[in-house]
Amino acid sequence: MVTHKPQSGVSTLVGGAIIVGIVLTILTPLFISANEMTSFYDVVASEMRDLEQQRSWEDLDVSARNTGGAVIITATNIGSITVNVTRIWVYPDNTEYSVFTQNTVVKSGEQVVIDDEEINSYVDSLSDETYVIKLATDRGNLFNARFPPPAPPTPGYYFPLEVQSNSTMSSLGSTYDITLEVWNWMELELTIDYIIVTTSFSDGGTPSEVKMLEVDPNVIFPRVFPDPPYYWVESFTFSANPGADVIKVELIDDESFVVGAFYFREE
Amino acid sequence: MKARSNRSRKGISPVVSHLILLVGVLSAGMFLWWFTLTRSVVASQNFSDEIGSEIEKIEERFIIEHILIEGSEPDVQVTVWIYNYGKIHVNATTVYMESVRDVIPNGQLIQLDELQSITVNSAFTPDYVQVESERGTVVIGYP
Repeated sequence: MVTHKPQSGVSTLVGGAIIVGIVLTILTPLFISANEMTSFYDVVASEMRDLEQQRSWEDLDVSARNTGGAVIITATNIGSITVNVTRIWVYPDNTEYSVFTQNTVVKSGEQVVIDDEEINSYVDSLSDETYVIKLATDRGNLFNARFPPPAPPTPGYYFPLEVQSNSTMSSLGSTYDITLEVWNWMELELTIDYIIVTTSFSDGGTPSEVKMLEVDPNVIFPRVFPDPPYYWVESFTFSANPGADVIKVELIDDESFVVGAFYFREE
Repeated sequence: MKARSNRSRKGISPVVSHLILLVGVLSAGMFLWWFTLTRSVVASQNFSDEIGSEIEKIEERFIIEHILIEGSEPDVQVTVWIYNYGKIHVNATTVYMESVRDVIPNGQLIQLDELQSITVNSAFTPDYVQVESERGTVVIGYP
């Protein structure tokens, strides 16, 4: 009877050790493997975030001018990272193109002038004298320049959107009709959410009226795009006190900024 | 003699029964261990595959670098240049001209830092083109 006591204790210990061994041999590799995979995922995700961040830091100001038959492309790195231009696309429209392989490095703050004979001869062969030059970088960014460059904004013009002078306004009694043609001078697209119209009387006899007209959110693409929709043509009808001779139109973007303004004056 | 042999048989029976019990318990234990190990290996493999697939997705980066439109409606040819700036090859499988879908048989493989073109036919001139990869990344481009 006395000899049985220690034997029963040993078997419990051995059984427990075996179970712990089984659990460890199964769970440990599982945990190690899962941990390694998630760590690797984090490393890759971090690398890709860095890549995207570096991509967003790339910014080139590109312009093109034609000097004695030679196309001079000027690329100024206004971003905070070195840019490697790998290709230059030249195309007068969407139906014709030529692409030139490049390996031009533009350091931050540096200006590089590209005078390529192949580009010159291609541009010479074009019947159209208007074309777009597009610089592609190895980080997947595209920077455009239009030749001839768009006419500079009129002095004293401070808005990114320009209401063109061919925009019209007519009134019949208290009903006013306005048709706007708007161009985007920015390099980024802008979205118009609503316009504010102020009708005034130059004699000061009748108080001004302010109307807010909602429009369907409308994206206006940059002027550097070769084809529409870089401009926006839209008509509005609203009612106000009849006889107003000064009508101010303000364009409001999706961040509630005034991005364009125009005055119609009745003679 | 008779009484002695009976005593010796009495001693064998518990040993045999213990051995049978031991083999049975060990077999059951080994089977359970093997089964759990197999399941855990499969679960680990599935997890690795899923993470691997997610890693490939986040490594995939491409842009539509240029779009050329030739011909006139209804026989328009749209050529799309795709540049792979990611860290893994891209298999472009579908081109959408606005909402019209054009599946590329077997896809078009674009290696790292490579520019490749895909030409598809369209009945109309699209305002925008989308390219979808095998991993589900969609990129939009404007002519």
